[in-house]
Amino acid sequence: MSLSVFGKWVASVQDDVLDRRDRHVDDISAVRRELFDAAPARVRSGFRWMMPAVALVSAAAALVLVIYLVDTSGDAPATVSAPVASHFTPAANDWISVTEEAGRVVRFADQSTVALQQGANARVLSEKEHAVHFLLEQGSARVQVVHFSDTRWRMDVGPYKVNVIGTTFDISWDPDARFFQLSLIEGKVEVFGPMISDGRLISTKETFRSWVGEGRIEISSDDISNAVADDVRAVPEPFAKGSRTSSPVRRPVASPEVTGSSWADLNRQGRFTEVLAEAESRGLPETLAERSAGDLLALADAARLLAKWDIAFASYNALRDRFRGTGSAATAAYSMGRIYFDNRGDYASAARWLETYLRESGGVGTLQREALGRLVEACQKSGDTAGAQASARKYLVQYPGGPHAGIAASVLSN
Amino acid sequence: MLSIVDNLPSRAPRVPFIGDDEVLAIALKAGQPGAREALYDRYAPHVRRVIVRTLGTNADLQDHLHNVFIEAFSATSGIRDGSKLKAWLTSVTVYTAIAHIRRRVRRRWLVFAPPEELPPIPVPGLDEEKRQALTQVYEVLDRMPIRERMPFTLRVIDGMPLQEVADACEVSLATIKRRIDKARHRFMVMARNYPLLEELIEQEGRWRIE
Repeated sequence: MSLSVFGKWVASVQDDVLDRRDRHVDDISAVRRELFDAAPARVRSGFRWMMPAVALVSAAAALVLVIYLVDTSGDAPATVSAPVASHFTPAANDWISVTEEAGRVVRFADQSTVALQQGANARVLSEKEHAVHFLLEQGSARVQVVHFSDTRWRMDVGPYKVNVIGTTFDISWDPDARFFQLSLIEGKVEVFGPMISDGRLISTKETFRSWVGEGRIEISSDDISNAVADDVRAVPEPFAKGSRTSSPVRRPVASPEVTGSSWADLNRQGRFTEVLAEAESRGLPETLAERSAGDLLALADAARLLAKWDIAFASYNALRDRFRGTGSAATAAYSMGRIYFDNRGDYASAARWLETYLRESGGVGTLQREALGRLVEACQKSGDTAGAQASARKYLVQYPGGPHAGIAASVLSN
Repeated sequence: MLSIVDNLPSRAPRVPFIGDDEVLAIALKAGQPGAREALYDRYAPHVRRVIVRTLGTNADLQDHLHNVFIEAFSATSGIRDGSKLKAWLTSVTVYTAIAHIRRRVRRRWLVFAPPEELPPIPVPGLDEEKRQALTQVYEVLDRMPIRERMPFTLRVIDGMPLQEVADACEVSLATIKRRIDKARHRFMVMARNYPLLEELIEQEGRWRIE
């Protein structure tokens, strides 16, 4: 056989070996788990053959160290150690009342920790892998949650609920003063409670404070020194507005993901190329990693309207990753569905994104009718008859006089 | 107790990364969560195949697969053209395989070092002659210069287009053609020292340099 034919024969035998191997070992899944589900992945050692030698050297070094310590311990001056927080692993329903000066550190199986300060009362309401429900009844704590793809942490702190994705933050609740504070050191969390019943995303270096009795909240950032805001929009009637006015800078609190964006302003004026130019001059990766949700949405929309699909998708995806669970993330899903529908003719993908929007917006999104109508069409065009009929039924129930009613009716009649 | 957790406000479901390679490249450079998983899901089978072609089926596939992606994740700033993401990842795989071979060669003098390659994987139902032939092919390749071995395995065994082989080895098209020609000739000569491969040559009688 020729060398090329021989090469193909070798490849076919190798493929046969892999096929047979796959019946017993799932290499791809095993490595995937190791890369993404475990602790930070490192290069697997190619020097395992050195282990015996390393062990010998280590043992010798340890022996020398022990001899040295034994030999010198009598001469060593007595040291006064600072109080060290005790560590323990909790069980569900454990009550924790911290009286020690050094506090107590609660360590979970996934290596997440809650370092409770003296005076704190807490309870682990439930715990399972990467999913913890923790109650801080009073006091302060530093929380470090290790992020995994399926991390679901919730803390109940006074009247507030905090959804944690993977982050480090300080949190406290004083029931007497009815004062709540959360300072993000890194990552982001979502806080629900009085005056922010729809939730508020707190990001790195932001501090959220709430004087619950006064009906007043404050969000300050390292970027804007002592910036303070009264959430005028969100304050419910029973809470009279407080009288604290000492803070030098005031700004309204917008919903977490949609802030006043200069890029949105430019878009409104049709200056899409300027938005793209500014993003590119700053560096697209940096822009996607740092800008606010409002800016990302504006950038994505500008790119979409200029048919810069790669930038549009990158921006929408960045928005969805960084501001997961927000209204802006849902809107991004809708916009991607629209691109697949209008510009790529990929109706199956369009349907998936439109369904995502409908699911994430929880039936209250402003684009509900349009999304559901487009979903009918997308399912129909992609050959998903059952999906088309189901969405058509839903559409006719909700919007019998809507613009897609005719299409929905024809889908059902067929 | 668990029901309390289950009643948490649910986070948005994890949606698979959508976008072509150019989008994925931008996302990787931006360090977007999910981009690495997307790269892995998209190309892990390809990477595993390239590992098998370049190092053989006796290599520790999971170790190599793992290391290629760790290497790739740390080198995303080197992606110059997102549309050639697959070629870039192939070059990372080749680079990792070369590093492995060099490391193996460097420590041959250490007589106490156990072989890094695993013993042949017992493959139920695989013809013994085929298994031996595979082993002998990679024994021949082990004795070839790396700069010839890599293009040979990618071109002759994997059937990769010449330009892709050149990209993966990071040399020009002309250079890769020269190296492949040399590799073919060398492989033919060396393979005749292996009984089974020689037998294959004699039986077919037309195994020749093209």
